[in-house]
Amino acid sequence: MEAILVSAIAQGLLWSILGMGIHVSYRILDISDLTAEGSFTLGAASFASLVVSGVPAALALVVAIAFGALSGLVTGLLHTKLSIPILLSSILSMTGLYSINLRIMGKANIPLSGETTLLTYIADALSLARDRDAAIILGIVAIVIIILFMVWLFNTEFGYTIVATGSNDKMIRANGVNSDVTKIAGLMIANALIALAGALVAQYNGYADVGMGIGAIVIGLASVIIGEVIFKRKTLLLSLLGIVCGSIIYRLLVALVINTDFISANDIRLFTAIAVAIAIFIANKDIFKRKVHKDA
Amino acid sequence: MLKIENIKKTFNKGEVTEKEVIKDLSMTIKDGDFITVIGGNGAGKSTLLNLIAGSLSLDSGKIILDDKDISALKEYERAAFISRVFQDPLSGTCPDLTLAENLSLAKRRGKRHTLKKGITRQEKAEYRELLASLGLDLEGRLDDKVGVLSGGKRQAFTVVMATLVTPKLLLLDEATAALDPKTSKVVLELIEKIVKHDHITTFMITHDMQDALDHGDRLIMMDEGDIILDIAKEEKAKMSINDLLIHFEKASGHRLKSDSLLLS
Repeated sequence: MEAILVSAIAQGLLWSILGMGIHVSYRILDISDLTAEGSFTLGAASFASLVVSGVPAALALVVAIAFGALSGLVTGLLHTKLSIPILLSSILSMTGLYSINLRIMGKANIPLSGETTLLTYIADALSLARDRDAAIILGIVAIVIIILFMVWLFNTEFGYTIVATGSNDKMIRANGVNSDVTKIAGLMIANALIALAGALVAQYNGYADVGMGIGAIVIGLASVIIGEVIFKRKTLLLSLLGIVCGSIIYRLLVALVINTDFISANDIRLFTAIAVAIAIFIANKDIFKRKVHKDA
Repeated sequence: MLKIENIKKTFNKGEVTEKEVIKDLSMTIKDGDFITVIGGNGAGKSTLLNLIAGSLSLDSGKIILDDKDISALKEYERAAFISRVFQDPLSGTCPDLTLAENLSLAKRRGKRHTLKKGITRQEKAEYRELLASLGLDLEGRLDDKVGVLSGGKRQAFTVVMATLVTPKLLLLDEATAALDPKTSKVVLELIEKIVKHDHITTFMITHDMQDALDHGDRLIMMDEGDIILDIAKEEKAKMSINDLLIHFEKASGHRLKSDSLLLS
């Protein structure tokens, strides 16, 4: 039981960064960006390819993040400059990224065993016996940095314009802001975070795989929504902390479900999809209540 | 000074539903003018305002503000000198940001939004003072999200945002039409107060003929995409709603449909 808990915390922490990226597009920008499915793998693929070809892990991580931002840029340009609806723009990016990821990796799977990653570095430096413990430390460091970054950014002049773009595009243009720019910036931040999550998860799994992004959006959403059920959406900081908790809870649920006799690991995505649908239903009921109260 | 020269706008060009909404319209707005605009549904009032603001593009003609042709500028570029208040009280503010954060956005209208802290302590003190001076009972709510304000308060707050940095031109598109009569009066008084105090050139569309007579120093009546009446302050002061209706019939050659203008 303890092993399940520790591993759920380790995985939950790393995967929560995906949830934070989804939060930026889905909640702050209020758009459904499916690029995540590709950018998550892109982060893992670029990180793993660079590391096996001898690039230091820290540098590989920076490149992975930059590539993620770039994928967000492409989706954003398709959406704003070519006026393609965001759902389709992101499907185009996601589909294109599948080939790009295969190109980057040169094959469908790159094992990281025996390579020096951030995870093995932390494990060695602190002489930790298990990867899980190192993953928890790596996850906490990454999360603290991201939360500090996000709270800072969304309290700047520019940060306000991104938030306002998501909640009232008309208003932000009337206030002299080119909302194309803010949308693109938001998508870049979202996908940079998602690629970072991909690179971290690849280290934990010990490999990058071209199919690892499948279901990423729903998994990210699961942590966002479980987080909102717990913490509501009061402040950005609470939302982000909620996502971390949501992500860990999600991993615990997955672990418990897999340990039952009638559900196998192959059923997890179906389980997740159903769980997210139920959670959104509960959350919507909650939001509905608040709206009624507001209008009264 | 704003000059509108021979502007035209047709919707759905080349389709069955083609409609010429603005037909070769020209007018000059002098600095400090407070113009009220009336006209029936489909007269082209909102289209004219959207063309000036840049949320619609011109088919032909020019819009010149202070000797500068702004016809090619995008809506967000024109926002540096033109500000707007929409009919829908929800349109002019960001519900997910606090009052102070919204004001911070408005304060930087048309400027670069940098990575500096969004609100300084000094700014917040300024905002508090400004809101207190306007008597809207909002000065204690700077840290509340705008989304929790009532419609009337939100529209009054939008007016404050639109005038926080004095614009060269203020566009009001039926800014009080969605409010109850009492709130509407409060918001109109607020507009009047700020516009007078800051000498803002104002273009106010209204459905309410009495409001159009009571406010502003020039009245324009539109019909079928053109200006059919342009009444100066002195004449306007002497007019009643009935006079306006008679003028309208004479100028347009048809009666105003009773439902197309709300009489108060």
